[in-house]
Amino acid sequence: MAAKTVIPDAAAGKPRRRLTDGQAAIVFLAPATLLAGTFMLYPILNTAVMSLFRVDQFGHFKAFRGLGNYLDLVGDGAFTAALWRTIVWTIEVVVVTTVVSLFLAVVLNRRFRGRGLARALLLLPWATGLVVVGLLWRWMSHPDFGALNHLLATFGVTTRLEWLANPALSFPLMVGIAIWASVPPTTLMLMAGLQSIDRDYYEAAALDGARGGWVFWDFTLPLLRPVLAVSILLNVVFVFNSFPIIWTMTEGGPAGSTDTLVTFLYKLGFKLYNVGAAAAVSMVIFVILLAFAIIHTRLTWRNVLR
Amino acid sequence: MPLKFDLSRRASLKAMALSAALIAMPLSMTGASAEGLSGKLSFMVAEYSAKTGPYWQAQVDSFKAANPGVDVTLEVVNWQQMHDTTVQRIAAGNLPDLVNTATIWLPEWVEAGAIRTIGDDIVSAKVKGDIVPALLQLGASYKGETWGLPIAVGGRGLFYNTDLLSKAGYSSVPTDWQGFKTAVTKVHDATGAFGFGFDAKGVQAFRYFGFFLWNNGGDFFDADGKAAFNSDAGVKALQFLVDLAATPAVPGPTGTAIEDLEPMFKSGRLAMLIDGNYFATAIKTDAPNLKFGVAAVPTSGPNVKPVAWGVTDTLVISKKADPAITKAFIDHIYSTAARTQLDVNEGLLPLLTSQATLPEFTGDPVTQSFVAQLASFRFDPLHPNYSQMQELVKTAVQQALTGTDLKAALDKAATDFNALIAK
Repeated sequence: MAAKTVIPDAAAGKPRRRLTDGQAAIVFLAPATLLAGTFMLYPILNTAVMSLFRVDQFGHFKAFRGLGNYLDLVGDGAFTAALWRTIVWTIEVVVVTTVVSLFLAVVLNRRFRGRGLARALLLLPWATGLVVVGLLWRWMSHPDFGALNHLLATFGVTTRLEWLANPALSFPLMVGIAIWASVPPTTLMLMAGLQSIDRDYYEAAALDGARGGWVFWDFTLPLLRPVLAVSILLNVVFVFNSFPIIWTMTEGGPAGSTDTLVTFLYKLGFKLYNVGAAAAVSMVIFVILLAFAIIHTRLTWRNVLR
Repeated sequence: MPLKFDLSRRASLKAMALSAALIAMPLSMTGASAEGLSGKLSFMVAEYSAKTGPYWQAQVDSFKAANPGVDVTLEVVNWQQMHDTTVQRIAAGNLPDLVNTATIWLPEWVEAGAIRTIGDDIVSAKVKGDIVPALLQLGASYKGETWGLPIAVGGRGLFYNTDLLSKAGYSSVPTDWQGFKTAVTKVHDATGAFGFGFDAKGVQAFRYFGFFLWNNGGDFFDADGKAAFNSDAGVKALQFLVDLAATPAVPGPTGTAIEDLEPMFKSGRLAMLIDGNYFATAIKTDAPNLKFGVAAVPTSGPNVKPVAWGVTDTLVISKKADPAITKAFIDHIYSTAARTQLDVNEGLLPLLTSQATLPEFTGDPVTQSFVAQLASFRFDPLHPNYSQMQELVKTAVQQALTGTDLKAALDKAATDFNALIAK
């Protein structure tokens, strides 16, 4: 027999309405399901359908192409190059961000003079929008007027480096900027995780003579694993899809040499108006991130629950 | 035998009433009435500067004061969003009645069936007669019809720093490519400043290739609308740019957009730059002591006639616009006084013949040199896939500048473009 949720009538002191657990679940989940269906499921399905057609910029479906848009992508060297670059970009940014943020979170979690100021300064890049960050760094990397070359000149490097003209310089620079922008929220998340760890563990470890690095490796890191798992998952999704920094600084150029999948998609959809092909790239991104999210979640939560 | 009408007095009154109703009907349908205009008008303008919004608001307010029965809705849109906003409005079936658009996008709106031609019912003879004929006939002419009125006009020219050129022994800019390249190098050697800068990074990259393509007798499209930028003229033009960029006298074009080059020119770090007439206004504001002049873009040789590139923006009219109200509003915003205020505010060239002798335009030699070229401007060719061409040519130019075989890069862009328009 199904369990029932009883909502008492306060005035009469009698049960006013009875809902089974199943009905209650439907009632409580319906708004979220409706919202998710409208704003997530429908666009995903629409994009999937669009990727099978040739679609003009006004959203008119012109001709059915089947898997033609996907096959075109496979044969497009610019797409495969952008895909590999996106993977490199994501790994570099997320790995370095996580390591740096973990270090900063541990340091800022300790009591020291000026900790409040250090925490406030840390949040500064986060408080600035990514488009503004991209524009600021674009000016800072100007060969003649930018702060970067002036800074290098003070160290004796007088070569006029054209940061954004050469992908060998611009891509690492943008990776660095993405890390700089990603560290604050990640650090904040990890600090929250650190503060949620019960102090008793540390006191018990101290009584047993555990010190410094051992405490970190044997207590802090394992206990922080759930928060780390979430921060890595979120960062991978955000960084993989990151658009503003690359677009404002190089627009994926020169000649697509700094394109990631998202800037590649944008050019297909909004510069070449090949909306069907852009939808196909969107689906590729969606499948990659969905697969990563499923695998990552299963692996990390299995370890957490073990 | 002629037909004989024998109408009673009552029948005559009925006939008169019917006739009056028939006459009044078209007037009321077009928004005109004995008391004046009534109805609605929506107007979407592109934001040229911080002065744009207040200017158009004042124009709308004065029109509404004169036509209290008309409700005008003004919408100011950033240029970066203008194209996509227009696309969205057309897709949603609610394009505003009047739209200030870039002329190069006009074929897209025509092919989408969203805008109408400029007929006598919508533009008065007075306004048509006052607009510089070349601008009216060529600026928005597509498939043999005129699809809008010029709303902003600019020209491009070669800006040069007279002091830097003088230090290298030049009193003027050489008119052919070989002499120009020599001057670029000499200026760099003599002064340390860059001789010439061009943008192969931003949205204008195709245009810088285009200056040299046109001044080598080439064109972007052939008569059938297919790619022609990979012709011999195009290959030689791109080779010239690649050779220029290989010298230390030119800053890396793939890393510097026009907005990076302009401050270099104003600060004396760059001797020559191709830019719009509005740049003269910016120089006078930001670097009032800089001595500069404007010359024609050099040609590949003496047999090629120099081409001055004119750029217009166009006022297009939705098919749903009320003709009577639209006509009255166009009359209002194309008065000599209104246009002059807009042109001065935004650093535009005058587009009415009635503005030609005004001191606002005759008092400045740089503006005057652009005004003198108005009638001979060559405008962007109108093609429904112009935006795609811009992007493909930009990529080809960047590939050539970063080491790809330039003929192969242009050929690939042409192949991709032709495949795109064949779909």
